[in-house]
Order: sequence, then C-alpha cells, then structure tokens
Amino acid sequence: MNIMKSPSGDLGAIKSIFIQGPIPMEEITHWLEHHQSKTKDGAHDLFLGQVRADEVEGKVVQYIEYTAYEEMANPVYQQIANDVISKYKVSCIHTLHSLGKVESGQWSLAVLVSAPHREDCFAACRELVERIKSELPVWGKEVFEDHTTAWKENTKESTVHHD
Amino acid sequence: MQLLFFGSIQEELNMTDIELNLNASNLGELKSYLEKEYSFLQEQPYTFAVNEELVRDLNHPLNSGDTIALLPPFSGG
Repeated sequence: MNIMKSPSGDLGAIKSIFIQGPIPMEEITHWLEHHQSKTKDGAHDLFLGQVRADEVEGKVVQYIEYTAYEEMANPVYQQIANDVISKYKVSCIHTLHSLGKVESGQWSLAVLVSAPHREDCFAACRELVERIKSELPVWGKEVFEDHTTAWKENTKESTVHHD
Repeated sequence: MQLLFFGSIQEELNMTDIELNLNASNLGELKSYLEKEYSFLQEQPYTFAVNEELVRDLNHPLNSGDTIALLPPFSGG
C-alpha cells in the first residue's frame, strides 16, 4: 500500500496493507521501477522481513501462519505512517504485510521509504518497521515440520522514540 | 456486546467471537467476568481493544453495542 505526501503535506487514505500469502518479488520491483521517475528523491530504503527457519527444541520452523485484526490494524498503520511522515522529510512510503501461510525464506513484511536524503530515509524506515512490529495487531503462528505449532514472540531489537 | 478473540486466545477458546449479554459497566468488570469464565486468561498476557482502539484503562466505560477484542501480544513482521 502506497502513501504519498500531497503538496499540502496530507496523506492519502490507505485501504489495506495486507496481502494474502508471501510478498511477491514482482511487487517490490514494481515499487522500485515506479520510483525511477521521481527524480527529487535521492534515497530509497527497503526493508524485507523474511521468515527464518528457526530451530526450537530440535524442531525447525517450516512456515508461519499470519492472522490480523484488520479493522484495527489498518487505522493503526495509518497513524504510524502519519507520525513518521510528519517527523521525517520523506516523500513516499510503501508497506505490505502478509496474511496466511508464509514459508521460511519467503517475505512477510516489506517497507519502502523514499526521501530526498539518506539520513531521514534510514531513520523513517527503521521507525516504521519497529512500530509495525510492536503496535500492529498481527499474530504469527510458527508451524514445524512435524505439524506442531508455537505462537511467535517478537523480540525487541531497539528502542524507538516516537517524539 | 460483541467479543472478538485473536491469536492464541482464539485457539485456546476455539472460537473467533461471541455475543455477550453482560451487565458490565466498565472494562474491569468484563475482565473479571472473563477470567472467571475462562480461567486460562488469568495467566495469559493480553490487552483490550474497544471499538478497534487499544484501551488500557480498566475504568473505561462499556456500552451494550461495543465490540471488544482480546489481543494477545503482537507478533507481526
């Protein structure tokens, strides 16, 4: 889902950031191609979240089954994107999150931030990813080779200040 | 009021939602009722959303038409 800053600084309303199944490569290349005409941007930061084949008590994760409270998650995402775009000098944000089955090695989250300069681009992308992971009502259930399951737990890799 | 269940809570209860005719004036009263009815919730970390907004204040008043979601810790991404 694409959010662009209008000349007045407002954001367009998003429909949904969710996509069924893994995020396809074509979606990412489509985003990138689309930006080659945006010559005021000097930086793009792309984050891809990939399902790891984690080993838990001798069993390896085969895929993650994602579910979400979509009616809540989309407005929460919209708020996060609004915050980020008003805090940093960025021109455009694209975000997709998977629902359903995503196998290890496949992508479940994609965030592309475009900006005139790299400093705001890196910072905005980092903050978006951290807030998406901690604030969106989304759940991942890890499914192992023997079909047993475990509810995924997110580790906090950094502290992001929202102000 | 309508209750929605997600993630591990949905799996434990084996249902996605339930219509509840409960005279709970605030979120705290609903929480007490739920934890008596479904005792595993006493050990389960979760937060509430009322009408799609996260609410942490247990004094938050409830109305009969509210939709209340039980949300276990998020693990997206």
